[in-house]
Amino acid sequence: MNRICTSLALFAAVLACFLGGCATVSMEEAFEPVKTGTAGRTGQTPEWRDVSATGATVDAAISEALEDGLTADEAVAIALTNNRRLQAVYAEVGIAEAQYVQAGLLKNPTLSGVLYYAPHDRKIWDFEVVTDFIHILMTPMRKQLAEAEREQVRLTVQSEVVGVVADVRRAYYQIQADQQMRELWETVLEATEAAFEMALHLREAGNIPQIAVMGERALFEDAKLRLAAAEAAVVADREHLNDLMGLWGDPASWTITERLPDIPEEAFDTAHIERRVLEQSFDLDAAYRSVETAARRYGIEQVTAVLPEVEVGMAFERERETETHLKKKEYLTETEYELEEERGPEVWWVGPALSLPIPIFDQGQARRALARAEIRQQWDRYTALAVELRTAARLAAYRLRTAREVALSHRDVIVPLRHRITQQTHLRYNGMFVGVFDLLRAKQAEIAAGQRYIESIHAYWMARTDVDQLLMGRALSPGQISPAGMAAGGPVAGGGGPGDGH
Amino acid sequence: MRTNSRNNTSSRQRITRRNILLSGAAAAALSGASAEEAPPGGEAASGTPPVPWAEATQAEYPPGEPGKDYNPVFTPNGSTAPYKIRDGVKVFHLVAEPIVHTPVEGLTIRTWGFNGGTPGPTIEVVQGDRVRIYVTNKLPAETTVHWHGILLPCGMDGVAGLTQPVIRPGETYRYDFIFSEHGTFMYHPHFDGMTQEGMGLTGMIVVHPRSRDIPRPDRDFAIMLHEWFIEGGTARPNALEMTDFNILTMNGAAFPDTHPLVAELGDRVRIRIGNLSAMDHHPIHLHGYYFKIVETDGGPIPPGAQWPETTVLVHVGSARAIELTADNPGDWLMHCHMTHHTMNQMGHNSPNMVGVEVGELEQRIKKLLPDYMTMGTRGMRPLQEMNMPVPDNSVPMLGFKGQFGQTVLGSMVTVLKVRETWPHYSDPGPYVFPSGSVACTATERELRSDGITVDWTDFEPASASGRQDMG
Repeated sequence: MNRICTSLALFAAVLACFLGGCATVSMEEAFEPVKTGTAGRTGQTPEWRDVSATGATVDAAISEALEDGLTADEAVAIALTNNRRLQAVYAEVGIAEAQYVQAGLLKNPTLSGVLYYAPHDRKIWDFEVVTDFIHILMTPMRKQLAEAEREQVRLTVQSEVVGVVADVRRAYYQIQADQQMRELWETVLEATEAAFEMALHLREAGNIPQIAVMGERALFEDAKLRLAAAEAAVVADREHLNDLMGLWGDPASWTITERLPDIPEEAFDTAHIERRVLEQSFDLDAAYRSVETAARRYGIEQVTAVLPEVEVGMAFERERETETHLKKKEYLTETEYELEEERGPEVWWVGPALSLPIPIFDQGQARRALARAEIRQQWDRYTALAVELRTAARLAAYRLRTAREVALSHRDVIVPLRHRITQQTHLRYNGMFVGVFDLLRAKQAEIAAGQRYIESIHAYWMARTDVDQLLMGRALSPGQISPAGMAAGGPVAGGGGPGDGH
Repeated sequence: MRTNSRNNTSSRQRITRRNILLSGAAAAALSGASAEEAPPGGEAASGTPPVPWAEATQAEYPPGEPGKDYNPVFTPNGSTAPYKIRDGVKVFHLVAEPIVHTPVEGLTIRTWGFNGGTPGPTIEVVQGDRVRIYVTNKLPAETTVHWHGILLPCGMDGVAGLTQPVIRPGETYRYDFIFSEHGTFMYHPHFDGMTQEGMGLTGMIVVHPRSRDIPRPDRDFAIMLHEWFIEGGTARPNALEMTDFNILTMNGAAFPDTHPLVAELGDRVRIRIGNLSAMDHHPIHLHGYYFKIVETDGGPIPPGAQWPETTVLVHVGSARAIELTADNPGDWLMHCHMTHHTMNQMGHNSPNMVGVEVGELEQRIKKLLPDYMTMGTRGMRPLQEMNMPVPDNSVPMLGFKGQFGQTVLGSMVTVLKVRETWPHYSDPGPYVFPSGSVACTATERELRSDGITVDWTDFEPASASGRQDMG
């Protein structure tokens, strides 16, 4: 008996090691594929501070980057290492890794036992050791499922990282555009101020009526408010970027000194954009994994729907055998009979134990149907995402081409034309055909043209970021590509990415 | 009707003209007789039109010859129309056509004129000359020519639709009549006058008297006044303009490109001025002289009725002739006295800057507009001095650099140059002023000796703030 027990125990241990392994969860290793995957797409490497023990070096890098003006790449790098919401998303990788390891672990056998204290000083041991046989049987399939799920999580996280990269770039461009707009509003303010003061001088000399002065002042005060609004826009944009970069306090006082980049010499190649986007899409890959996991679940479900659990094990009982016989006891007058127990040796009873559900009412047909339906659902979602990506790709490419032409038209035609109009107005002013107010207003029209130009450059870079985001692997729904090319791109690390079925 | 017209209008005229046409002695008798004479009946005058030029038609004078019958008139900046003589008839050819014209250097316009210019050539004849004037129309529009002030058969009057059909583009018409009266007249289209006169289809007519008794002037000038709106930077006059004219011309030229009127000391000078401006009469003022207004386009004014003036108002559609003796040597300005008419293209859309102190605001505006200069705070001053660029083909407020500095004049201005000896009509150059005869700054001694004290306490010279003020 003991030999049986010992060998069973040994067998169980070997099995455990063999199947489960001395599995450990290495977060750092789990994160590596995400690092390399996103680095390949975005040129930037995310750092999971909680596991990579690089916290101090990350902070040092941030301080250094903030010393001279913040560049777009620096902003992205800071966000990938310092945005806490994103760090929380990185943890998903660790969680998925743990789940993967968990899937490979065998369920522990259960020991249940009772010790009866019976009368007559008897002790009855009653215990059993069982293990879920189905669980063991399903382990390889479960591991495959977990691997697919882990891969899906990695893809989703990479997509989130791409989303943050794109959002940071958008926020950076927004700041640049609004700073440049603010500069021009300052010039507008100078022009309206000059006109107002000129009107004051004219009024002092008695040459114009009060109402003319009020008119110029109204324009001047309007310009002040426009400048204030422009300043407010810059402040809001900065805070948004600070939020994305996870900065506050002193480090949040960075400056951006560069202007919006010029429209590139060469037009961006949008040939075969749909295919390129589909090939690169993390979201689409993840959606495909959803289909895969649903299929694997179905595979598991085909067994576990009918037999969710089959417990197999050994039952043990240890009891002292007793013999009870009547003992005659003779007394003087009477005879008493007493039950007397004779204690025998303690004996082990051992036998297999089995428990399983009997599929009378529920043969698991519903659960299997559910699993099949889920496969179909994931497949449709996958297809829908593909269509959405195609549409988004076409639209983003179109908007990019258009934005480029518009910006070049501003640069090459409209702004120089407005400049020449100012020059011609100056000639007419010299000839005294028009007065100084007309001249200042022509200048303001030129500045307004400059503002439209900046807006068009900004729109170009927003459109470009949309295309880049799609090609880096994160989806944009067509509705997110606004006419101005300023895409929302989805919130950071909060979902909004499609196909997030787990 | 015809009778009335003879009595009312022509009787007075006939008195005067008969004196001239026939001998002076018979004039009095005839004038007396004609006043009571009953006009001949219509049917009795069959074949003889009872019209003012009847006598002239019958008189049959030979074509007048320059030098012999008249001293030729000088049209500054213009020309006299050439003619041929065919059977005792002077044959002229006027061509109404689009032209390119330069009223003043720096401004060239595309407009309409006669025979390549505006005004057209002066038609110069002698009273009694028969003329045949061919008018060719090369304009893009129909036209006619009306002979302003000329007595002629109604069919030759040149009013489109009323007295003749229009001369269509490509057609040549013929006008036949006799210049029966002497005087200063004009010619211009009478179809779409606003456009066609406005574009420059104008010309002077000078008819010299046939009679030798009327003294001939030593210098005879013909000037056609005109006004234009040419927006700065454009090359086309806008004939639709009704009030805001910005270039005004004498014989199509604006000062300083108006050719001077030149005379010798002691010359009898006659200046004939016609005005075919669209909307403005012009009071033409001459410095240094008073003159007599001796003639209108209705005829000569009797000496006793001649009005002495220094300024002759020439109404729209009128001609005036003035005479003076050039006894005061020098360069004498002759100009329209409406001050806006002595300026070249100026806009009226700029604020009134006179007297405005701009201060350091000028520098701040220069930051926005690097070439900016405040202008107008001291009135109008010539910009050419400062070399300020202006739009192409525009001449804002030109000046003329005289020997003493800038004049600030343009448009309807010219100069009567009287010289001791200059037997030509060409420009003798600037007057050489006798020393000591030119106004100059008063010296302190002079002020003191005359008891003149100047209180400078409130005076602030314009350049005190150190800024560059253009105007």
